[in-house]
This record gives sequence, structure tokens and C-alpha cells, in this order.
Amino acid sequence: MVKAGMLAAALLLATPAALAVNVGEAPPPLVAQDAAGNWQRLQDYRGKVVYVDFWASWCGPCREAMPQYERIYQAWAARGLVVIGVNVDSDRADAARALKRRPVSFPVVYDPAGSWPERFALPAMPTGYLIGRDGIVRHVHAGFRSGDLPALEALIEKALGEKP
Amino acid sequence: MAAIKNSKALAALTHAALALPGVAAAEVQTDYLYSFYQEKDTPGSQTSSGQSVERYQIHSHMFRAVMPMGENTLGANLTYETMSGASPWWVQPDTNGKPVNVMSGASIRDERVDLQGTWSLPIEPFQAAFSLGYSAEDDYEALNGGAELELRDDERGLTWTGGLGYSDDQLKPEHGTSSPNVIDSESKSTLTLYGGAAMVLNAATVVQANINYQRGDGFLSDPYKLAWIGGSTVADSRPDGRQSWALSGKLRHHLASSNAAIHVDYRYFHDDWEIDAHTLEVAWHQVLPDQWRITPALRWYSQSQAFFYAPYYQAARSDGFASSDYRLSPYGAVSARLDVSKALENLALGAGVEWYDADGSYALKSVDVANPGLVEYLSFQARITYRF
Amino acid sequence: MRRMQRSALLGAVLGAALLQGGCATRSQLPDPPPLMDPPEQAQQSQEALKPWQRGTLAKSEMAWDPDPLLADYRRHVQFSKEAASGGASLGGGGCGCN
Repeated sequence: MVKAGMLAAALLLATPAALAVNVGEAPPPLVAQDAAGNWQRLQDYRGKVVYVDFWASWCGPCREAMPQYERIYQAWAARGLVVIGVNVDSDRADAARALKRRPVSFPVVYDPAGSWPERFALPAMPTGYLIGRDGIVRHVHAGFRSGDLPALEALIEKALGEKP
Repeated sequence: MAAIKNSKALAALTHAALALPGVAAAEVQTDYLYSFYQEKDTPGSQTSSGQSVERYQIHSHMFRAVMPMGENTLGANLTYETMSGASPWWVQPDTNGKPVNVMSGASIRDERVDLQGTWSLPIEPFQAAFSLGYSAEDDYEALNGGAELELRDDERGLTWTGGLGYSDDQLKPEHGTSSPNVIDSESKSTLTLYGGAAMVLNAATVVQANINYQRGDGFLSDPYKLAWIGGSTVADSRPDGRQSWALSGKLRHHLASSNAAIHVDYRYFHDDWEIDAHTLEVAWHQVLPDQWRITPALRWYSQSQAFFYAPYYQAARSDGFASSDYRLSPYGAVSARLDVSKALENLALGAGVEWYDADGSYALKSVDVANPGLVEYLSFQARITYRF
Repeated sequence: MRRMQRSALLGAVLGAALLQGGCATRSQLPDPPPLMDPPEQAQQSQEALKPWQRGTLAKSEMAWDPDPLLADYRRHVQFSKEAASGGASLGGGGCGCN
């Protein structure tokens, strides 16, 4: 048992598992390039409500979610909502094809190496992080089903109503 | 303690028949397949008349539509086939004792319509699918139903699946020149159970293992076929029950360096008619630029004979069984196919050809006397997929 | 008389399991890690792939049946010519396909 425990500990040290980002915590300082090569920084949106959506073209629910997030973004951008799509396709062309089919107006950044999903320790694909005006995570949305939308929209609306 | 998550895999049915890029779960998708199937003529050396006989020709049309409706997904499958040509009627020895076919004559002409519906929905913690189907020919009618469940364990990279199906079939053979004394009507039923697990080995490899059990009850003989016993013919007669087990394993491995996926499928089959069979198929799915894809594949099959089978009989068996159906004979078969597809925005097209040859010499164990009715065929398919 | 393997839909359904690989479809926070894992398991790094690492497995050419309709057609033909049948799908309606 002791040996087993030591081994487990050694393995843990060898590959430090990123800790999942939870409600009430500050998210990792996401920085990544968009299609135009501009750096998008999560911290630049402090004061706004940010929804960070990790997605990939190969993931069905991710694709299903994109038009919904676009709709929500269009509806509430004026009230201070920002959506940032973080694409984790290893091939940019796959992402481009998916976006051509379902265009979005919110910024999409690319992380083909998957380093930010690692930092956030995503529980699922897709995962969305709702970050309040104070920069603190309000809600972690793992997976996507169309039935999830009313509850998610209510949480976004609540976050928009909070003072920074 | 593993997180058991259900997946939308069953509900989504989003699987593009021809690999359309980026199909989302909420899209309606339709597929159509046309196939032309042609068996090679039976040569004169293998018929009692000494003349070559044209065998089966089949035109098949298959339609599929999948409609997601919220958490539910509805699917429909329609198959329409027309068959014509001759089929081995019985086998008898020629003057040297070599088995030769007596063919049915080109009297067979039939069509088949098959309609299947599927309803898929989440039933926590499972994803479930229910199916109901009806198939009709001039001389055959079948009603079938089934339920399948899937359970995903993402933490361990495992997906469990299981299913239960039942088919109730009615045979109403037609009386004709090649079937003057055929039975009026009979029935049979088939129960199918399967269970299996798929496991993710690494980012590029996944394997699946399955066990399948089938139990047939009722009239399992072929109403149109005869067997030759010491100079006269009797009706094809088989046991009224059959149980079979199939163990199968599948591997899918992606080779990033070639941008290709290799598929290996193996199945071992055994039934209580004492047939043992092995099936091995290897396919190479090569992805090419501009959404083109080319897939060459090879398949090998081998089976041993049913315990009551003989090409012909000198004397009746004590149990009364008799069948000279080539499908119960010992043989092997090889097939090679090539498939090409191209995906566009909302449309995908595909075409393929398969050559299949059954022969005693391909069998795992040496076959003393091969059935003269073994088939060689060519089939051509064209497919189209469209999403709305 | 042979029963046919009817499984384009169901085959697609089950094959799609991988296509959808890594995509959870409901909100769920990760379970806490088990307090102690058997060392063999830890050694084998049996820890499943991370959700965002399933892109390759989700490729359509990696599906059990990349073209379910074609696979169904081929199963039907094989079923009508060979004694063996059965796999990870249900038999469906019958046919007198001699």
C-alpha cells in the first residue's frame, strides 16, 4: 500500500494534473491569436461579461452550440457580453470549414496545441466558462444540449445585471 | 467512480454516410444508395444440362433519412430491390460422380420492399434506440423490432452497447415450374442478442469486442430447394432450431503520417449446425486533398459445413435432414473492393466496386468436394448524401 | 430464406459513438479523482484521453462503419450468401434472398 501510494505520488509529480477551473475562481489568463493574427487577451475584457467557449470542428455538440452562442452574443453584446471561441482543432482548415458553414461574429482564437484546454482542465467538449464583470468564473458549462439554453441564458442575464 | 456520461451518439445519428464535414446534430440528413449486383454465370461444366446458366441479378435502392427533434432522433430506412435470374435447385452427380447443379430456370423474379423506423432518445444514464421494421416480397413477409442501449464511460474511454431484437417471418412460397410441390406457408422467428464494449487505447487507436447470439425457430429450410438422394429428390430439410454465437473484434487506427485510417475486423462464428466460420476484413481509408477519399479493402471468409449437408446423398440420413445448399457447404471466399468518395459543402458522392469469389480452395481446411453452386459476383454501388 | 441484417440506422448510431467522441452533451462537473488508484492502472496510464484530444478518433474515417448505408448493403449481401452472420448490430426483417 505504501509502495502504491509512493508510486501514485511520483506519477502525480511527473505529470502535474491541471486543476479544473471552478466557479468562484479566476480563470487562467487566456491569450491566443485570432484568424487575423491579433492577440486576444481575456484580461482585456475585464468589466464585461465573457463567455469562453472551447470548441472543435470534430465535435457535434460544439457545432450545434455555435449558432446559439452567436445568437446570444448578438442579443446581449450591447449590454456588455463578449463571447470568445477557443478552437482546439489541430488543423486550422477544419475550423475554417466549420466557421464558413456557421459564421460567427464573436472573436475566435486558435489553440491547435491544446495548451489552454490543458490549463483550464476542460471536463468535456465543448465547455463554456461564464466569467463575470469582476473576472471571476460564475458558471462552467460542460457539454451542450439545446435544452440547456434557458438556464444558461438566465445565468448570463444575471451576470450582465451585476455591477462590476 | 468513473463518471458515467451518456452521449448524444445514439440520439444524434449524425453520422454522415459519406463523411460530410461538420454535420451538426440538428441537421436533417438523407442518403441514397444504388447497387447493381451480378453473379457470374454457372458454367456448363457445373450444370446437369451442360449449358451455362445465368444466375442472380439484383438492383437495390436504399434511402435513409435522419431527423433530429430536440433530444429525440427519428430515422427511416427504405429498401427496394428487384431480383431476377436462376438459382441452384438441387445438386446431383454426373456420370463420374461429380456434383453438378440442376438450375431453377430463369423463372425467379421478385421484388422486395423493406421499411425500417428508428427512434433514439436518452434514457438516463443510457442512450437508447428502438426500431421497428417490415419487409415484404411476393413470397415472404417479416416484421421485426429491437431495442439497443449505449452507455459511455468517458473517464475510462469505454462505451458499452447491447441490443435485443426479434423478427417474425412468414414464408408463402409460390407454386411454379421449379416448385410444383412446395409447402403452402410456414413461419420462423429469430431472436438476436448482442453486447460489447469499445475502448479507446490512445489518441489514434480504438478497439471493439462483441458477442452476438442468435436463435432461429421454425421453418429454417429453403422451400424451393431440393436434395438428391439415391436417384430421387426430396425437399430441403433442416433442423427447426438453430443457435449461433459470433465473437467479433474490430480495430481502427489512424496513421497521421499517411493521413489514413486502417480498419481490421475479425469475426469467429459457431452454430449448433456445427458450422465454424472465420471472417477477416482489412480496409485502408486514405484521405486525399479536397475532401476526396479512396478505400481499398480485402476480405476473406471461410466456413465449415453444416453437419447434415452433402452435395448429394447416396442414402437418406437417419435424422431425415437433407440439404445441398451451397451456403451450408464447406468453402472459402475472397473479395476485393475499391471505393471512392468526394464531399462537397452539403453534398457527398461515392462510388465503389466489389468482386467476390467463393471457392473450396479458399477455405481454411481443405475441401474434398466443393458445391458447384458457389457464387462469384461483381457489385457496383453509387451513393449520394445530402444534408438540409 | 434468410433474415437480413438491417442496421444502417442502428449501425450508424453505434458507430457514431466515436464520431461524437469526447463531446459531452450535458452539463457535468468532473468527478473528484479516486483517492487511490491501483498502481497497475496508473502505470498503464489507463487514464482516458482528455476530451479535447479526441479529434483524431472523431474523424469519419475512424468510425466503425464510415458509410453505414454501404456497410448495411454489404452485410445484407454477405448474409444472403454465407452461413455466418451476426455482429455488433441487430438482425432486422427477413428476406427470401436466395
